[in-house]
Amino acid sequence: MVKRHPMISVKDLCFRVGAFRLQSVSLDVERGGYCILLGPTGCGKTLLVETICGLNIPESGTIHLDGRDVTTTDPARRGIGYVPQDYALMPFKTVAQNVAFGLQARRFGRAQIAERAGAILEMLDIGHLANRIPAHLSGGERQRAALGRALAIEPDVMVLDEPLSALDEGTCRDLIGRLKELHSRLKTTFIHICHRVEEAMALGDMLTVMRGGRIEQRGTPREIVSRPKNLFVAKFLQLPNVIKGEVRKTSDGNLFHVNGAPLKPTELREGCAYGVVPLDKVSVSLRPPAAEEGYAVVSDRIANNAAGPHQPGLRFREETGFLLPGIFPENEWRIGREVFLRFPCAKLHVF
Amino acid sequence: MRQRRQQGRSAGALSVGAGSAVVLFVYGGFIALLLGANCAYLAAEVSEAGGSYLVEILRSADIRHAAWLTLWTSLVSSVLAVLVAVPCAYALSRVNVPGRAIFDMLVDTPIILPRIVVGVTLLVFFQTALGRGIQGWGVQFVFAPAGIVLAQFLCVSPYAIRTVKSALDAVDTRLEDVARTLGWSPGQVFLRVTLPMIRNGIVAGAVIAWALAMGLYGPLMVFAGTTRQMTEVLPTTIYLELSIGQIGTALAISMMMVGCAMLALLLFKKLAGGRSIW
Repeated sequence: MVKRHPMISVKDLCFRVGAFRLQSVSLDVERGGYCILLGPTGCGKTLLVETICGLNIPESGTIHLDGRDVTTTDPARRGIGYVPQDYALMPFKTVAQNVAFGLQARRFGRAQIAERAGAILEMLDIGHLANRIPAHLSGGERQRAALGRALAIEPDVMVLDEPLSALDEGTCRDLIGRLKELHSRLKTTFIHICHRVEEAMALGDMLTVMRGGRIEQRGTPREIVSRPKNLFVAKFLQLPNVIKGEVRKTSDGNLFHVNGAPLKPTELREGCAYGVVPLDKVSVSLRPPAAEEGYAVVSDRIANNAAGPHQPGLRFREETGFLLPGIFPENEWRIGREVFLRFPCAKLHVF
Repeated sequence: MRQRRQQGRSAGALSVGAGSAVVLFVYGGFIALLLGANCAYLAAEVSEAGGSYLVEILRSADIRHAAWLTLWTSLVSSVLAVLVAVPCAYALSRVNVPGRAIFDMLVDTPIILPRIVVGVTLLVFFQTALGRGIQGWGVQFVFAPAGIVLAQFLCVSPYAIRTVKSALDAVDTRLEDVARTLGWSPGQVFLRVTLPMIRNGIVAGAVIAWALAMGLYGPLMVFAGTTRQMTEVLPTTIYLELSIGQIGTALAISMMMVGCAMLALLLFKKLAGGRSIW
């Protein structure tokens, strides 16, 4: 059986801009995959996708698209549809002319351009805006026009740089739905930069978390949420199920302890450590539960009982903000009261 | 509290608007006053010497030759200035040229040089072996119309470069990046994206260059001379007429130049289709 190569394969990519540098970045995106690049502002996400698009020539490393080495290939010949953060629509062209712009470069006939541009405009529900200039469009309409312009050239890869960052919640939700639909219909490979966790979780089948020009962790959303590599990843993803503890050396080897209770063996060195546990496996009680083989009991005090409509639940005194969702009557579940969290040790991931 | 703040803001905006309008009125009024004084002086001269006085001045062969020479030399030099300004401005704005700061300074040097020095510099240059060699190839610059174009070009091109460079600096380079990913080559991106984006800057540069070239006379007198019906341009005529006390003639030519310039500016604005050029 012939092994299919990934649609995008970045190997040991290094690139420097001023004092900042991408440091040996490697990334594979499967054909038809939806890769989310996630990370705080200034972590190098845009620089990485610009380099993949060919707008920067890397100092070292390679970029392969569909098995073809494109490390030094001109952006015009990479077949990537790029939607930058501010959409970069040509202000002197109408929406239809913007969408047709890439088709003109490919020397399509006039009738063919009109037909294809029209089809794209209809697909994105912006046919009625065809003769408007970008200055007369809303943020969502501009985003769709930019998306249409990139899609018109039928690219092998679509690169979207924070396409939803400047939009309101409602428009954002609508566009997330559209992007999902587009991706499943066109089967194009997507790289999508964002810094909002909800957006990343809703769209990505692969997450790549970046920090300071490096990739911190890659994996499916499920893998990363259940097994974050470090506290940065856990905090950036706003995981509500992180427990702080420490690794202590015992006669049975190194064990992860929380509030003095030994929970699980670990290969980590002695010192501060963290664990994540699936919230649906955690039960909470006001009295100590009976000891049971394979289960851990951790005591903590209630820091906040946020019985609000949006995120009801108990928040504990962990610095990571462990949050147990649910509605707890405030007369019993008072702030400062000691409670007991019980969960199976096997489900605890220590990092 | 919020309403009061809103009121305060409105009052602030009003005072800024009123203040700037006052400055505009004072400045515009001052220019109108100067032009009005010229017109009044000219009207007094006409009433004294008769209506044919102005016609005679404007119909004289010397003045007509000077007007034609001024027009074509200023047009040629401003077109040349723009042709040089676009690539120079592009290099200064986008290309990582070695020693860019030095070139940036060199481009501006004719702005800070006293104009007369530009004329002297040219005169000196054409005395060197290289200068004499260039003249030997068939184009006469010293005391010739080509010299007028050269001196005007040197004096006005820095302004054209600066204007085009400002327009280029204001263009979002992401537009060019996106065009490249869509399949256009760098040259096509310049023609199809950059050039349309800086169109107004180029027109503004051309207008400024032309207006400056029209009014130039110091370096022309030194380098091209003031030979009647040969190298005499209208600003030189004005200077020479003033030097022999013919204030009326000088003012008549000046007002004719002002009228032509205003017509040309209106035409440019019309051509720009109501878009802001400068």
